Amino acid sequence: MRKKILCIEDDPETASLIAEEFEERGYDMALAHDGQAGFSAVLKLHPDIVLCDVSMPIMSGFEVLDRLTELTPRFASMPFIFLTAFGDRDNQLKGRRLGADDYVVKPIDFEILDTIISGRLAKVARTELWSQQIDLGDREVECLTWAARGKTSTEIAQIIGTSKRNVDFHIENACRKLNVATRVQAAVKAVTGRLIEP
Amino acid sequence: MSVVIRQAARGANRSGGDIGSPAAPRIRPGGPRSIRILLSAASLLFLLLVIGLGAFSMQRLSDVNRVSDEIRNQWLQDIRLIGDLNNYMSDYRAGEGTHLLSNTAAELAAGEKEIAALNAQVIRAQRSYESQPHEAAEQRLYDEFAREWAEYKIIATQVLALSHAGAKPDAVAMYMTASRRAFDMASDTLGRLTDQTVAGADEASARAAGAYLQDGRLIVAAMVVATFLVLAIIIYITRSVSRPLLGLARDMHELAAHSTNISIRGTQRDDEIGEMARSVAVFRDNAIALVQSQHRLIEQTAALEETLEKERRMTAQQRNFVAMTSHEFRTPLTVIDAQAQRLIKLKDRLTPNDLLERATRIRSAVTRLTGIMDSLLGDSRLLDEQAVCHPCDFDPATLLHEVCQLHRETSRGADIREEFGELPSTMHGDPKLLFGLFSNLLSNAVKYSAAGSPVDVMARTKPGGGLLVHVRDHGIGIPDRDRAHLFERYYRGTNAVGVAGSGVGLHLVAMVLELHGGAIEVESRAGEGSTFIVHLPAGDRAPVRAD
Repeated sequence: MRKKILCIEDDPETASLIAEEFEERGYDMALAHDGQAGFSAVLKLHPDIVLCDVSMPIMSGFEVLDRLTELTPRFASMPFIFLTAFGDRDNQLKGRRLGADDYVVKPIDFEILDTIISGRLAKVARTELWSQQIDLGDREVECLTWAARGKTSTEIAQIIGTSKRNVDFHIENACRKLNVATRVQAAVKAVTGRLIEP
Repeated sequence: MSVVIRQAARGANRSGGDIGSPAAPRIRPGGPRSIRILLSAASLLFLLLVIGLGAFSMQRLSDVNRVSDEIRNQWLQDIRLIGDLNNYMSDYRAGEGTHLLSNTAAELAAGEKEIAALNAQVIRAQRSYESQPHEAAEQRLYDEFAREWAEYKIIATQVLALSHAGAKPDAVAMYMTASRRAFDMASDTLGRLTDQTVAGADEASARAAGAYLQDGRLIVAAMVVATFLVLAIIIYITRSVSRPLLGLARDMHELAAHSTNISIRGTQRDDEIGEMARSVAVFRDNAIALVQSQHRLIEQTAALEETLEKERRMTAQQRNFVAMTSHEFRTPLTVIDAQAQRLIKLKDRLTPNDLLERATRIRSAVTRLTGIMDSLLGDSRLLDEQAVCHPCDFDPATLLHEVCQLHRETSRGADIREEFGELPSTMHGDPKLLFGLFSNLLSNAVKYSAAGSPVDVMARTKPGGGLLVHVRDHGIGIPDRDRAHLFERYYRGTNAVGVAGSGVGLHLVAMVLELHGGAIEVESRAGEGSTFIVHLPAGDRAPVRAD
């Protein structure tokens, strides 16, 4: 499965060059030309990784990251990398303190950027491998997600349109697959392993 | 505050003459007018007054004493002696009579013996009286008495001789006539002397009483004079010592309460109080100097802090400028580098068209780079050298339209709207500088707005000539805290983070307007947009050089 990179960059030429290079390297590329559009694209496209410029009209890269942090734990495992022409220490410190996973100063060496991207995605890859091994069914994922959101079996049954008995059955199955005793443990493990998004 | 300092300084100047360097040589403790001498003199004066008053009283008393002595010793003695004399005289006369009555020889002898004794007593009394000093009147009467007594005694002796001889009837006749006459005369005279003496004694007595009264008056007068003298001395000491000391104490209290605006009296005095006053004045001057140096210190500290703050701001501005410049250079460099990397990667499968396009893009990035360099250098030149205005006639409508057109071309998607009213056909000014001015404002308006958000450029003729241009955007706006620094060199808005810019543009705008005698206003709200309003005079003034 090809990984999806969202590149938020106000200079269209730079953006298209990055897209050209990384499509060739086997990624799906999405582009946004200002902070606001970039933030919407994150919500809409759920990219695997974000490359973001700092200096942009309407909403700066710093603001985009700030807004994403507010949404935690959503996108908690989506690497966010600044790609900027601001090479000075102050801006770099600011970016990293805001929680950026990396801070790359332009001009960009595509080779190095590719290493950074694949390095960041590799961590995600391991957990995805594990999630494939666990192999939760759709109904199990659904029930566990609602359980993690604090719903009772009866409520979950109403929400997903089935019986309470079935809900309990799915959750018990999930517990067995995750090798835990209670639904609380199951929810925690599933969330940390990125099997579900609470 | 400054008023106080000025007054204090004036006080220092005024007293400077009194207590400056000449103060030290003027120290003369124990000088002619020292308080020690003054107090000693006052005490001595008291002592002298007491002694003088005592001596005077004693002298007057001895006068009174002398008069009473005179009465006692002279007049009373005289009266007593005269009395004795009178008694003895009477006894003598009686003895004479007794002798006449004596018949026997024994009786005669005894009578004669008694008369002789009485005569001796009379003589003794006379001698006693004569030995006393007497007034002339008494002496004259006494001399008369003595002569008459002597005459009587001769007659009496004759009477006695007759009686002794036995011629009693003759003797009795003589006793009753001549002798009796002589005795009465002497007795009368003595009586007059007695009266005279008593009158003299009375007179002396009255004199003594008068003297006593007069002396009493004199003593009272002397006491009154002494009292006035003592009062005068007390008042003088109060005036010259006590009051100035209290005044100095008050001054010291005021100084202690940090009131330095006081004048110190008595610094010209030669005595200890003058010395103290000069010391207090020195103390006051030190206090004033202290206050002044404190103020100076505070001012210096403030100035230092200001300088430091300026330095800090300058450094921040410089860093901002460097960061922005670096950013501006890196952006086209990124394109060049990325294209180069792509060229390397595509080297085997490049079509000539592809190559052409990429090379063209590299060249345009280089053009952008050199443009930035030129702009930065140009800005620096404008900022560092004395900007010169090259005025000529120009058409403002054309100029504004060209600026708008340029930004439509450079910023793709920019919605720049022109709303021009009736504009002057020609104006006088430097079109190149003015182009830069409006270009800067438009570039800001586009840069700090969302893509596609409209930017209005409204121009009209000012009432009374000149041009009024509004450049309005609906972008991020300018926070209130940045408004005051907007036109400072290298200053960037606190919400401009993440937007490229050198912080030079608005500074240049302000400079160009200054050169043209124009003005600029800003209306802005953070998050709602900004409107820059440029007032440009018609431009009939002479070309101006910036300082």
